[in-house]
Amino acid sequence: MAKLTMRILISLLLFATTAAAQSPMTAEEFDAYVTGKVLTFGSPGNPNYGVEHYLPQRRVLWSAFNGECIEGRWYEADQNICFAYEGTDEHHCWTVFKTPDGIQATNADSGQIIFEANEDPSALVCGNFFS
Amino acid sequence: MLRFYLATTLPALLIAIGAVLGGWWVALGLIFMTSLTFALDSLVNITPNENAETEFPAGDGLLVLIGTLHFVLMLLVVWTLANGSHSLAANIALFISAGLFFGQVSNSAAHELIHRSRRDLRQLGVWVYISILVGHHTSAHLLVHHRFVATSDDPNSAQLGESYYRYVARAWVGSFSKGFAAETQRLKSINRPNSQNPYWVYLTGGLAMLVLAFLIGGVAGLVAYTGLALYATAQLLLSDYVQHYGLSRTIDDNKAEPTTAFHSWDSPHWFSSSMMLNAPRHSQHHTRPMKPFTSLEPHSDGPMLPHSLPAMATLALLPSRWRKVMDHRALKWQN
Repeated sequence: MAKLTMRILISLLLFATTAAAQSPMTAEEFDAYVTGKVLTFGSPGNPNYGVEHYLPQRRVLWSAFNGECIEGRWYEADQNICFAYEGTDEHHCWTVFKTPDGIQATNADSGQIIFEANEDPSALVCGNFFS
Repeated sequence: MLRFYLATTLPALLIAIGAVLGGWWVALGLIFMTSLTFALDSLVNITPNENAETEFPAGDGLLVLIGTLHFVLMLLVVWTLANGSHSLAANIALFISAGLFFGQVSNSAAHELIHRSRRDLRQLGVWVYISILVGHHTSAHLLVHHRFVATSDDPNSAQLGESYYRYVARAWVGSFSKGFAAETQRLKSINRPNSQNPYWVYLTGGLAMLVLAFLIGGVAGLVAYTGLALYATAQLLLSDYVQHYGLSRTIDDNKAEPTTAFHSWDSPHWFSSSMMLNAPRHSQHHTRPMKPFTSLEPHSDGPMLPHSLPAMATLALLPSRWRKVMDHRALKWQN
């Protein structure tokens, strides 16, 4: 029993020193990954969280699948990727990680976690721009 | 899709017949939930995969059916245990088989339902949880568990070396209070009053269930109902215990690494997976929580349980044997 505990302790120590946590995506990495894509996102509580079109020059078009889109831009701040949309002063900052399943992002303020679902240009419907 | 329908509705049918007719029918329901499931998992080695894209709307119909059957069975079984004339042995077998159904099948369906975006589906899931007196699991699961899984901030992730019995109290209290804190914060961030906190529904709903049980069967009804609810809750927490035991995400600079396939234990066993709506394909549920159960796939190179989820859950009740089987496996995935 004591031997097992010892072994576990030693292994934990060994791993703790060698393990390097994956760091969040930098602006350059994020830019290279998303630009030109239309990505849909889901959260644990809402599989249809929203869809974003990533345009050149770090501009974006966001829709919460409600037929309306808002324009915005993104920038890097304090290891986060932050989004500023037209018509609101709020900036939404996310810690973004790249995983084998796509992007995983945690909202820096609320802790909301969202996951990339699909790359799907047809998911973006912007009724308010053309009516 | 058929395998999900058969593996979930057949036991419900057997338990219902057992409740009405008693005798050997009750034994059939119990055998289905225990030895038959174990045998089919061990003897038949297949990995069924649906093509979910063609199956619209991805199993929602089955979820509503199970949610409905859950309430019918709960009423029927509580009434029977309190007022029926079956033998003591039949009553015990009925209690166990119905409790296993609520803890494994109802729980799996409710879990899928609370992840849906359609309000009516979500509400059904919430009410299934309320009916086993853990309405708060909805908030704790969506707002806390998914965000903090495999870190010490998640009350439902078990640490290496932590026994189920030590974990179960911590997980219950932790998920209740952390879920409440998360709801309070959520309401504040969207400028809504605390009167909209779903905890009011969880608590008044749970109370209403207890009153209903008393009306159905007096004190005996209340005891039978509370017993079934606690039994189901114990399994719900047990499945979280097994599915994340000893796995942890590295924390660097206060930020946990992203959740990957390495932070959940999967099990490939086909029959228990069918009965539990692919819940044992757990890692992908955490890396793609918006995926419906019909399209979840088991991972090929992550942590894998040596036996089926129900078998491992049973093993977890014996802490020293559990640690003998699991600790060296978990250590392999540390980091």
